[in-house]
Amino acid sequence: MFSLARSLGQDSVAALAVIGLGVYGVVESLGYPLGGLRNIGPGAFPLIVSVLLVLSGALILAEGVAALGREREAPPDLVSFRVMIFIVAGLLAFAFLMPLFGLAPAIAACVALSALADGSLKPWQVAVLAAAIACFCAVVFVVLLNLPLDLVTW
Amino acid sequence: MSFFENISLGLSVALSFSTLGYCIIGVTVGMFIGVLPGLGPLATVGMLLPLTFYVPQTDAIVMLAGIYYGSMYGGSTAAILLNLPGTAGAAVTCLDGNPLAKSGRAGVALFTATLSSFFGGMFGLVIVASFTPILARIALSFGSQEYAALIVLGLLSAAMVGNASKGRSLAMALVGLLISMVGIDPNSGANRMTFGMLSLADGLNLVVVTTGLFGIAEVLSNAGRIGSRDALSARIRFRDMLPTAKEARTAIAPALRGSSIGAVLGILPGTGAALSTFVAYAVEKRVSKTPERFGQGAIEGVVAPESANNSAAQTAFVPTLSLGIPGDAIVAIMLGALIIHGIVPGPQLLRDHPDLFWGLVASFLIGNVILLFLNLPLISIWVRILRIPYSVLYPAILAFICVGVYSIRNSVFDVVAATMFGVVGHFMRRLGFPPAPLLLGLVLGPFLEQNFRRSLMLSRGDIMTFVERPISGGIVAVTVLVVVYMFWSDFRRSRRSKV
Repeated sequence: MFSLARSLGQDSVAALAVIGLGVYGVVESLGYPLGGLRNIGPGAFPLIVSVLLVLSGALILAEGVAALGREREAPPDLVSFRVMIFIVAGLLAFAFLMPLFGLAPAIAACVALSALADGSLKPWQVAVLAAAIACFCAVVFVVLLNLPLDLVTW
Repeated sequence: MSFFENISLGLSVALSFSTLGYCIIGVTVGMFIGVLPGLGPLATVGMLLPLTFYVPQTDAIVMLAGIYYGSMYGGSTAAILLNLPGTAGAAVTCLDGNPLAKSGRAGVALFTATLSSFFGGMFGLVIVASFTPILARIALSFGSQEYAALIVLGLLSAAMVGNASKGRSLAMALVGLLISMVGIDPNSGANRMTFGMLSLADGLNLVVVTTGLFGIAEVLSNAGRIGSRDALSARIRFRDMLPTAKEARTAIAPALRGSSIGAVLGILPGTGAALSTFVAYAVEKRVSKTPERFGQGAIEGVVAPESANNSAAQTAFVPTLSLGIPGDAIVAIMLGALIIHGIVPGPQLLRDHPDLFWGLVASFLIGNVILLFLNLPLISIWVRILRIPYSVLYPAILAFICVGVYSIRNSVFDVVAATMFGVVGHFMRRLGFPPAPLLLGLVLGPFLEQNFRRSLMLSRGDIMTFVERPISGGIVAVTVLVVVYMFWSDFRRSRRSKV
């Protein structure tokens, strides 16, 4: 059993994730009135979708078993830890700084942090890039498009 | 109204100052992101969607459509010069386009790709203008049963056709449906799957999900991987671009075949431009008397896929504007844009907003002509844009995503949610889940639920109503046939590969 799970690898993880989400959906939708066929309630449709989701998880497993021993494409590489950390940090920095300090500082922080994920730019290049993109966004979004965003607040 | 009245109405809309301006912006942005590998039309359309809330509806849709078909032109440039597809629809163009460039005929390859794109675009445009009104007239008689059945057919064919695993695509479409139900249920007022969070009461915004799953997830997969590129630096003069008379003659039939394949696959819901290029290339190779030339720089191998993807990028609007069912994921976002502008997609769109439909059709014409001139004379500029390193590009993409998502309703929650969708989307891709069906499920979910509920209400709880009505029953039959055929052909293929 364990060796089967390992040779299925990706497929078993994918199927488990889908089935898990489906089961969660079933539990969640049972918390709402299902109604009758004449007038179905808010829980009925999510319930149908969730049950189908569990079934499609089973289909993924079946496909995996059917494809055993056949060659298949290698999956794309997983993101490196460094890229993940810096890009998520950049996005969260924007979310955190935007309401406090305004658009320009938030974008500069987002660009500076996320640019570090790549690691090919020198520190002064990162600074120039951050300033340039912050200026560009300020001109395009606030001046030209007139979005209701504060440029700088404190 | 006669055909000419319609066309002149369309031209009067499309040639107005602001619409023409947005058309030019759209196709230029489309060309730009098409040329750049690592930034696709889907992420761009999702990213720019919030900006279109502030412009008139016709201008918004004209610009977003321009990005889509503009990127189909741009995609071939990187494919030919770098052997790196600028967009998914240009992957096949690499096969023969790059060998042509390596043998010193890059100019000919670019010229042929552009002209084929233009031909395909015009072909698709004619199909859109002639078929959409007919389909819309038929669809006016549809009730909610027909709509529910059509949406199921669209979702299933999106999941079944294509290269990805059927179980995975199906699961993604269902996840999309599930996500679409987050928020207050319009019929009962129940707060569904909100985890008690007030920010989720309005549901998850389409922009949040799209920019996360496509924009951020794409950056996560590419950052630190796409290095600097050496584009062919040779100067391309106009004189070098003209193909020989013999090549020009051999290109006519592949252009027609490619455009037709693109048109059919574009109209089918869920099958988009990218798939049509593979089919068109395979057909050309089979038809050719000299199939061994393919992959070595055969001109047909550039013509067929390039005319197919442009034709499909246009005809994807046929089901979208006549039935309200998007032809592929990118058009699904545009459908979302229409809904945000308060336009109910469906057969009544053509009747209630003829200016929007004919204006869009006329803008296709204008946009394609602009692209023709944007492309060839300015080719040296696009080659220079190819040299922008990804390490400079992706922080800018992230910044745009942040501004776009935040500007929807000045919500920090949305930016955090998009980030989460980005991370989840990256792992989904890694596990082989295709993201496009999810988007279709997300856009079509509310319509499916509404029509499903209404059908049952009208039939007093009789589930057979979907089969008993002739049109709806026919659609259900087609759906069953599609599913059975797809599984059967899979089964046959796996049997054959084992023997």
